[in-house]
Amino acid sequence: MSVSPDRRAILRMIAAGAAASVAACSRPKQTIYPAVNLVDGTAPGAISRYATSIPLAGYGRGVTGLVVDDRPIKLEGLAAHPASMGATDLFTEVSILDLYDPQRLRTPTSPAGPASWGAFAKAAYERIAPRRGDGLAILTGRITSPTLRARIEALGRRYPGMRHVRWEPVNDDAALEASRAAFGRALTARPRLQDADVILTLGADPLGPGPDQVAHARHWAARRRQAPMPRLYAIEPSLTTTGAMADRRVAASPADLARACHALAAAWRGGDAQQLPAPLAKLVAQAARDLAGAKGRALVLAGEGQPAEVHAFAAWANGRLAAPVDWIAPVDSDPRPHGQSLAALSAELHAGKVDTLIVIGANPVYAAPPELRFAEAMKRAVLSVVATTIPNETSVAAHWQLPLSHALESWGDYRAPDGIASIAQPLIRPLHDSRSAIELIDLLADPAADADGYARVRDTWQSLGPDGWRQALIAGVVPSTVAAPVAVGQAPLVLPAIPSETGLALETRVSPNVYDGSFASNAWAQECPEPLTKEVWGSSARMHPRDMGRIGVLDGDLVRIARAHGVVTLPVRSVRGQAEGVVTLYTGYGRNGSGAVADGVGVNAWVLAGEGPTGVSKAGGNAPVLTTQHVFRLDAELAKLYPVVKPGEKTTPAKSQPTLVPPNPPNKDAPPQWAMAIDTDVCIGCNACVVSCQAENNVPVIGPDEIAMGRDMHWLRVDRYEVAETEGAGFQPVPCMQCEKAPCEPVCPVEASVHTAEGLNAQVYNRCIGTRFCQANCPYKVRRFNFLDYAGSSVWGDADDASIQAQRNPEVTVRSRGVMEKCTYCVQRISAAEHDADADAEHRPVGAVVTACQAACPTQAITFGRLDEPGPIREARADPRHYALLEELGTRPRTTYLARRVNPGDEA
Amino acid sequence: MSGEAQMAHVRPSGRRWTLPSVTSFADVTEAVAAPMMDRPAGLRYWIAFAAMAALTLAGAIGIWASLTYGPGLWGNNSAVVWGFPIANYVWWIGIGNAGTLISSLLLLTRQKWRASINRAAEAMTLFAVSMAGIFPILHLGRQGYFYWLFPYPATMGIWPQWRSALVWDFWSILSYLLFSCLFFYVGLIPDLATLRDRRGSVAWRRFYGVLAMGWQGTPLQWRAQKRLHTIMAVIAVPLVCSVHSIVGLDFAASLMPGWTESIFPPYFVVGAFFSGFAVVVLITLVLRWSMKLERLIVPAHFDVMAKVILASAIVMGASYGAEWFSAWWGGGPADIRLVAYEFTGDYWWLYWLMLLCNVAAAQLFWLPSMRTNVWALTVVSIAVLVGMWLERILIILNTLSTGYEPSFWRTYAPTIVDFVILIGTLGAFVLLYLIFARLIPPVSMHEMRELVSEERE
Repeated sequence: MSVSPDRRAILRMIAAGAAASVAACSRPKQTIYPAVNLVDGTAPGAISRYATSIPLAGYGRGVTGLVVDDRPIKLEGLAAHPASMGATDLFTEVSILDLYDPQRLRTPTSPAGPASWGAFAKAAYERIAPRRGDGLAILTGRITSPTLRARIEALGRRYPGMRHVRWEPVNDDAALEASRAAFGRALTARPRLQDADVILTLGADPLGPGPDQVAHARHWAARRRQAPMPRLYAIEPSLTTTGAMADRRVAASPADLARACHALAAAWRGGDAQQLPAPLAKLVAQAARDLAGAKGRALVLAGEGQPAEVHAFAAWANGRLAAPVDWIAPVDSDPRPHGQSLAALSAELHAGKVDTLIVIGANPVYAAPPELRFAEAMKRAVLSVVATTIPNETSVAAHWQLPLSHALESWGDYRAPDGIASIAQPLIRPLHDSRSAIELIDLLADPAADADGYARVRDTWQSLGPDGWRQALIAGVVPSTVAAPVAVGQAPLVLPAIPSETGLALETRVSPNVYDGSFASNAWAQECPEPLTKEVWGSSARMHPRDMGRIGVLDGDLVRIARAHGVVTLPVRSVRGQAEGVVTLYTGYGRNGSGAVADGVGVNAWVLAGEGPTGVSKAGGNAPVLTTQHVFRLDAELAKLYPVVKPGEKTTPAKSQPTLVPPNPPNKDAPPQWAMAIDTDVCIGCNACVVSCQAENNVPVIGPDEIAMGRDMHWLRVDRYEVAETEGAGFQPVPCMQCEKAPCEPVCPVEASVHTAEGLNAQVYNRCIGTRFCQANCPYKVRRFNFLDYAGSSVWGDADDASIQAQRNPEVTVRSRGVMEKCTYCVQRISAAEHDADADAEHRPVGAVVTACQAACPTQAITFGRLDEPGPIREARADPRHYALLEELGTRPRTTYLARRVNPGDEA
Repeated sequence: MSGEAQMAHVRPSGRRWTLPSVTSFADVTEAVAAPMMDRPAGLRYWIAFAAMAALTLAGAIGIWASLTYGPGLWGNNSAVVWGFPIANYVWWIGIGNAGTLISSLLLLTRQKWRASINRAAEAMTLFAVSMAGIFPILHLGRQGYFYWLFPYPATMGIWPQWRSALVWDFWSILSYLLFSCLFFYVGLIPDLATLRDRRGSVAWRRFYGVLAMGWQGTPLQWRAQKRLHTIMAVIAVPLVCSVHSIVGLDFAASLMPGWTESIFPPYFVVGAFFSGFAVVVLITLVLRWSMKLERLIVPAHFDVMAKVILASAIVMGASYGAEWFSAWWGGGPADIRLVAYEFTGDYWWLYWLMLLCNVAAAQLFWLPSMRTNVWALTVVSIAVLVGMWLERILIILNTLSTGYEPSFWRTYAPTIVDFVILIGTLGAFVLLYLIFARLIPPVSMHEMRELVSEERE
């Protein structure tokens, strides 16, 4: 039994302790120097920023890595890099989670189990070297990296029998084929959206997912901000992001799209016009008139998934229109088409000519056309090796699995779609026993080679010199490396053959969430609502309601889609803007063998590749894909939620209402007063902001089961509405409105929801007891509740998820179960700026505060700033298009909007 | 006690509230105390006891799981953040209201018939409010911090936020529960003394002796008891009204369509009496049958209570009508949308069922014979309870499923845990009642004696 000391005893101990500590504390005898001016970024807990690059489909995209205590926690855009221009897309934002993904390979595994790199090098060398590379094939994705290309070429010189195959499932084979036919050589078209007054898209989605999304979106938005408002026409089989933003849009089957090309040519050159459905004929007539009228500033864009003939037609049209298009030599210098390359490799594997296969960062077993029977081909190899960050279908089928370093862990270099080169510097030492692709190639040449990616990359850029190297790393781009435009002549007219119209046509599109499947194991990507259907954790087939009626299915019913080499069964969804006769699927789902996040979510659209008819039939059963939004159409008075105006037209402000709520903040003139303005006219619904917010604010992933319960945690949601005028759609990002008269505040019994003097509606997490009255009373429904211990739970199955914590932003509280959370206007960023404020007069924050969503936005639709001084916020509020959401409720939101514009229909 | 003076306080009425076979005070005592004290509980009692204990245990497990893992075990979602717990709370507290009302309002208006049922009703209040009290705490995300609603001297100097209806709620439940206990106890003391003085086992007599706190039945004590009881009754009436008004304000003091209604406080109070009387009818029926109290609880009692239920049903119907009318008259698009959603939306069949139970079912009581028919009384009372519970859950679901932002319209589906907890509280309520009926005289003996003496004169 312990005897508790009495009060006097405790006091005595305290006194003794204090005396002892005083005696113990003294300076060392030698002179020591306090840190007066720390080198930037070395202070513990301080955020330092590094420019680097990460790839998408092989192309480099500049990023700024935010690094705290030697761990990167967030990626932001890099202004100097033309594929970023300071902004990001969803794929960039989610990449940081891949770095810390618990499902990553941690060590090489041999057929016998865990092994070492040394063991692999020995095994590979013994197989490759004696035969001087005979029978060896290295399969990679697209390579734009000068260093990696040089290393592979060097390896090829060492092993003359070896062959290198590069293959991307999402590729530009059709476009290059068209350019070869038109100009005699492969050229990549680089449309300059910033210079286009009139754009016609033929199934093209420049604002949609892909390596160019950010740049295209930025340029498109820049032009859209100038008068006169540019016109955008879209002819496409299913609704795309670009189609959503179009002034006029018509859904067209592949046959109608081809006919539209004929009609357009006929409109310009005379001749027989094809018979077109009335809406399409009208659109073609208007587009033909406007395109021709804007010569030099008119653009026709063919979609990646369109046949080469449509690309060729676009090249002809652009030549005729003197369109703002730069033609450059392909950045990916490998001249062989992707599809043919892989088919040849597969044939050689089947034939036994290739018996040693090394795959680096590609996943052919999953994404190769099924007719190649790649999995079988690979089984015939004597030695198959797959290097990947996260296990995938190909790696689990291989003899050896090698952990590939994440782009943020390794030295590298890339070229952007416009050719500009960037050097990727690692922001963290490899978390696992992994190597980069460059280091792996070195190992094949010399089993004793050190993992020295730095030296290889430095060698490539020897010409830069020490200063130039340093400058290139700081800036994130290598100067003067952008590809020079090539002068081309007028392309000949190619009129696309009109495909037969028997049965349904299949359209496979790149998923805006998981791309070609590369991001399927990323929980942020899976849980982000798809822009157009708001589907999460899966994807439906999209069909026209009449087509669905024909086979007798309703939304959510399962359909069986059969082609020559593959069959899938998945739920169907009717989406407005889908062409009749077209069934659309996203790629990237239906993974198998890639961890708990990716496996079993959706179906693999790649197995439907190949020629032949598409059979769609009712499969029986109903299993709708989860969505976070069910209502897309705004009828009657609800239309006020997403006003659409003509250029120059004003929005009508609502009548202000009397209120009992006291003014908040009490002294509204006390600077700074924060506010946000969101321009829905340029919001393309790309979700970069949603995931950026998730990364910045430690927003947990809750998984499909919780989503199915109707719960979600994203602080920022992007509402998608139908725009009747255009047959398109509109997007409205809804973060917290930070109401001056916030309905959430008076209802909280414990004052966890309070107003700050700067106009923020703050949520005090450790005061919140979770009554949820605030969310019940929030007209905008922007608050999110931790129904369970989301921060502590894992969606990564059995994998040890401790590494995820390293991603968390130390400046933002991780919320516990039972706590309400919400958008804070990134208060930690505001605080950081204010922390650096001048000590003197007015406590003025240093520098502009940029919220995470604002930083991510490719079109700069989000403006954040101060209401109390002249600047962008005041300008936005003075704009005739300015409106507040649900203004009539008298909540006086600090987050306000600018209305979407649509060009009026001046009929041709 | 002079009969003349007493008569002056009794409203003349031709009705008798006891059967003629009860002639003496001793008859009253024996009619009430004998089944409780002298007869052992039968098999049926213990079967009921075991069944209710099992339900209570299941509910306790549901509550334990909810406390351990969080509100995520329920059907609540990001839009419909409230669900069963709030509906259960409002429903239980509504039921609880009737007991105090019967005791106090009828005491003040000198409705002598209350004597036979007031004890049962007060006990019902106590137990119902106890059940209700579980939910506001259980419903929280971080239940351990519920005491932050209490203005205790926190070192941080933080106080509850007095503008929030939930703080008013906290005080109204707390004061109502405390008050109900005291009111119940003050009325019980003379009966406890009777049990102490009655023949029986020493242990039980000692138990009642302690509880009787030295009651000797002196005129001074009687006067003090009567005065205190009457004063408390005077306090009780506004308290009963305020409790449910404040519960109504939980919704009304908001911005949401369908909640911001000035009719809510009175409409909630009427709804509370409505469901409370339904429970009193059910309990009285069971007690009368199981404890052989036919001599003290007569058909006239049911006739009166049925009339109250009928009147309440009419007021409820009028309240619904007023809601629809004000939506149309106010012309707020969100309100009109809500009313349309109530009738045709995702929960349409629940809404129609609620109207059937709350408005239509009780119209049966226009027929005098139905007002004393055991089956009619039982069916209508259960319908009212179901209807009132539906009303509470639908107030939450309809508004939160269709707010101002259609992008966030989401429907609600309860989970098994939701049902287990609701059924668990039903079980616990009946269990408490079963214990009560074997421990405390379910009919107020001293007030019955008074009634008998008046009726026999």
